[in-house]
Amino acid sequence: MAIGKTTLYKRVLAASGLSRIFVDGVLRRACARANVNVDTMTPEGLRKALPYIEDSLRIYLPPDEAERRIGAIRKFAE
Amino acid sequence: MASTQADDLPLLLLKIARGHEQAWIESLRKAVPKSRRRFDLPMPPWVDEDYRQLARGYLAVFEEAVMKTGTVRREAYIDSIVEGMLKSGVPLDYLVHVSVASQAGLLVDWVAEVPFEQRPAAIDWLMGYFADYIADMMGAGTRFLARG
Repeated sequence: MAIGKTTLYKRVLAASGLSRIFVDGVLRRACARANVNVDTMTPEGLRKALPYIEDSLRIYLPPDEAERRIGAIRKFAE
Repeated sequence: MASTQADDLPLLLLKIARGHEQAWIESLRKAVPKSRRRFDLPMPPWVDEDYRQLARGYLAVFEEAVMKTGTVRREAYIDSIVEGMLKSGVPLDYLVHVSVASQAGLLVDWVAEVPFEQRPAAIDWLMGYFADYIADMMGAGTRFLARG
């Protein structure tokens, strides 16, 4: 259902811990690299995009926080 | 082949930059109010975490340039910030204004840590880096605006 899929991306946005200044741009770009459309993102799509999302988070967040955030996002892909 | 002083200079600047993350944050903190006054923008204030993440991202991009490992981080960083800000109604002029002001602060802060005899070369290298950065930001903004 479209609302549920949209909500998945919003949950990833919220769980990322990235600044509101660029969080949408960073995550949309990461998903695009995996050919995943954020507007129709499914858990399977999130699994494909995870490596790119993880790379992005490690750029902006301290290592311990990045790993904690990544762990939270991985749960959405299960 | 032994590295020359010119080869080592970007690495020295990277070492300085890594040790001066707080200086970048302070430079940006000083630049943002100047740009807001200049453009009279009703923007929500940035919080400490915004500044910290921008600084970490900027340093990651600088590291990529010094290590010559590509432009993936640079493109992602610039595009994400430019698109995010433009979508929120901030004009491209503002982004250029704040970027020039903050990088001018960085130039002074970083070069002060360079040995005196290497300062002219360091200034020359950083002038090129900062100018390229601003040009890339302008390019990203112009492309975004052209897409409507």
